[in-house]
Amino acid sequence: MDLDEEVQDLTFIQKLQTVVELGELDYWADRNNPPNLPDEDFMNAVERFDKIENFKWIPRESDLGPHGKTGEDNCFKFECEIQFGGLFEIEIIRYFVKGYFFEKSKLIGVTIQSFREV
Amino acid sequence: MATKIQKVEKEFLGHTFVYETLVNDEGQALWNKDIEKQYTKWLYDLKSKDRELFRVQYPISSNAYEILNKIKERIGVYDDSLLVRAITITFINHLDTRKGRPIMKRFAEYKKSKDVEILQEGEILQKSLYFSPNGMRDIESYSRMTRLKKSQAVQNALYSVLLISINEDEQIKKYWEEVILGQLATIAKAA
Repeated sequence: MDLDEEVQDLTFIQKLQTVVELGELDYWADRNNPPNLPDEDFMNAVERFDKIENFKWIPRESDLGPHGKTGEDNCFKFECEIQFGGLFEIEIIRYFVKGYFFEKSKLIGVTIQSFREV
Repeated sequence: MATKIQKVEKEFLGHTFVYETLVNDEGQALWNKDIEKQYTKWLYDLKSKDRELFRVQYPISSNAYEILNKIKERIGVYDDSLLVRAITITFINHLDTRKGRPIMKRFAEYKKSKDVEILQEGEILQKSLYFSPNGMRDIESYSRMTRLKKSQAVQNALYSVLLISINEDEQIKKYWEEVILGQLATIAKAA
């Protein structure tokens, strides 16, 4: 499967959702300050991302990790609100996400550096 | 900043999964597909050692139970646990995601309808179901994110799907017939 082809013409958020679903996910968990949420919560949240806010591309500072040297040079970061549904009333929760796609030469996955509640 | 291989612990249902991975100076530990495979195996081993950990109790009214029985007959699944599990998984992983958003928005308009009151009336029955390791992971995460107890998360999914099943709105009815029923049958019969 050619992920580059799969994500052609998709919006950024559709691209992220497609890469998480079909590609590799490297998730930096267990950070203490500020704490990242567990990887399961990211997987649950990504399927609920719709409208994103404060979206920015920023130069990536760290080249550590399995794809640090071969991943894209820029990181994405954004905020997103999630409204869980159903019969019960559940509060809206806002999340912050930061990461980068890899590899630069051929898209195979995404590294999530930050995922936390705002 | 540097990274080094370290042992890391992850808690699940009061048990500890220990794995080796890259950890950076901030204490962040890398989770990737190889660790995911090890974790899945660990979860299945945990369930084979202690199945009760994967059990969730939930209340259901006798009126809601009647509707559940009609769905059981309709799709040919005669075990409460199998169907409620399929309903919960379908709700969490499909209906309450971007895929089901149009229908859930429509459903929200009926949250104050008489159907809701009727569904919740009657004797309260205490039931329970067993989740698969992945299903339990989903429900644990969903509960954590929504701040609902696991029993409430099951109840939210169950009552929402039962209400959808009896809704007369054309769009909701079509989605129920063409999408949800098929998914429930597939998940329940695959178990």
